[in-house]
Amino acid sequence: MDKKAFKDTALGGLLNNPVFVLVLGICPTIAKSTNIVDAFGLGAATAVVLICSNVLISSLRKVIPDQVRLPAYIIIIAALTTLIRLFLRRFVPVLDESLGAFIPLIAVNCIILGRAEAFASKNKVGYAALDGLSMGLGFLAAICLLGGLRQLLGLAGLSVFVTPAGGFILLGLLLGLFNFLLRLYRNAQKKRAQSHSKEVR
Amino acid sequence: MSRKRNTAIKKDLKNAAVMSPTLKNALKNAAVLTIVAVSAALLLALANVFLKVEYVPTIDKKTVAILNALEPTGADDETALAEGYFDFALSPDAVAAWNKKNIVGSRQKVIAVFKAAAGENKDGGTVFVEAEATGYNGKIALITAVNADGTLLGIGVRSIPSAEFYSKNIEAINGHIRSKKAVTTAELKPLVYTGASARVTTTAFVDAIMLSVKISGEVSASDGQKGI
Repeated sequence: MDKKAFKDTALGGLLNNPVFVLVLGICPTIAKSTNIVDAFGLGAATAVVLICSNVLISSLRKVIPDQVRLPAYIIIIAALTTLIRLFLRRFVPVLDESLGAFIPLIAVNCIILGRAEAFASKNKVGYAALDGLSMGLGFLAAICLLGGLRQLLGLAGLSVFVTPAGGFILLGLLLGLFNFLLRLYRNAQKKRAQSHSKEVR
Repeated sequence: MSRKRNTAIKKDLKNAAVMSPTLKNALKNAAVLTIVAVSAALLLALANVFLKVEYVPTIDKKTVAILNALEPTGADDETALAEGYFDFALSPDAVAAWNKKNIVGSRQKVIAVFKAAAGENKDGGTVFVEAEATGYNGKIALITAVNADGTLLGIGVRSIPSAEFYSKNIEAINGHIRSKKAVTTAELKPLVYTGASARVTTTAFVDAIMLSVKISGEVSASDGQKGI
């Protein structure tokens, strides 16, 4: 396995975070981040579907013709989402009731189809699984961060942040902060690379 | 001339037997999609066997709240639950046997029959029937309270696919059936029906009530579990 490719894929969930950088899956992120439990539940369910769909789609990438790749991906993702729903209904019915319609809506989450199309369909199974894990954990971390903050702010008396509008505003603030920190990191890396190349000369 | 013509005919027949690339691709695409869809369906069918959730009737907080609202015990819901004010009037086997004897098909069934086991209503003879019927939108489970002499006390909703859709009708239905000794499907349907798309679900709602009325009559008449 190529070290650089491995590193880029593994850090994809952080440096190309699906919520804060790619801005995908915003609707369920805002809707179900009113408390940390719901946020974790939805984040974990999405991550599992993402990992499994990436693995399956990558393993079938040479079999599925290009012209029908999207319908085939949708069928696979929808089947996995239904499996997750059956599992939650059987073993965690309280969470299933709390998340409600947002479990079946995982099937139309842009992150999953986006990664299937952009990565899993063009890379080997190992890389696809790693990408699914990285992006899934990135989504989980983002939704949990937002959920935790909204719940804390709600308990502190700032109930406006528990509303959808407040969630939207808080997400925007987090998005700005994350991208600012990312830009600082990338500038620092560039400077380090430049100084290293000067030394070599 | 005839040899040339024969050769030309043979060439035409050979070309006709070979598919064009476009048609080949279309067939391949259709075959792959079909295989993916069928595989997904089979996987889900298998998963459903192991992950299916069977509803087991219990005397929980929600059930006690409904029963207490239908025939108040004088105690609050928490006290009624903690002190066992309600109990099952029929065993699960007795209910299953009644369903097998009286119901054809699987679209409706009685789930449980409760009675007041303590408090001021103990041995009062009121029977609470939890019945389920399947409609267009899914399953509807109702609890219907029937007095010892067959008088209806009202209905409570245990679960319904569309809560907002029917909540305004519950009060109207209870206002109509309370203190009545018999209700008919024709009387209930207009109260439940609110639009064309709900027609089949209306039937399911009414079926659940009529089923409750039927079994409650037999439980009351048979003095407990003797008749069933």
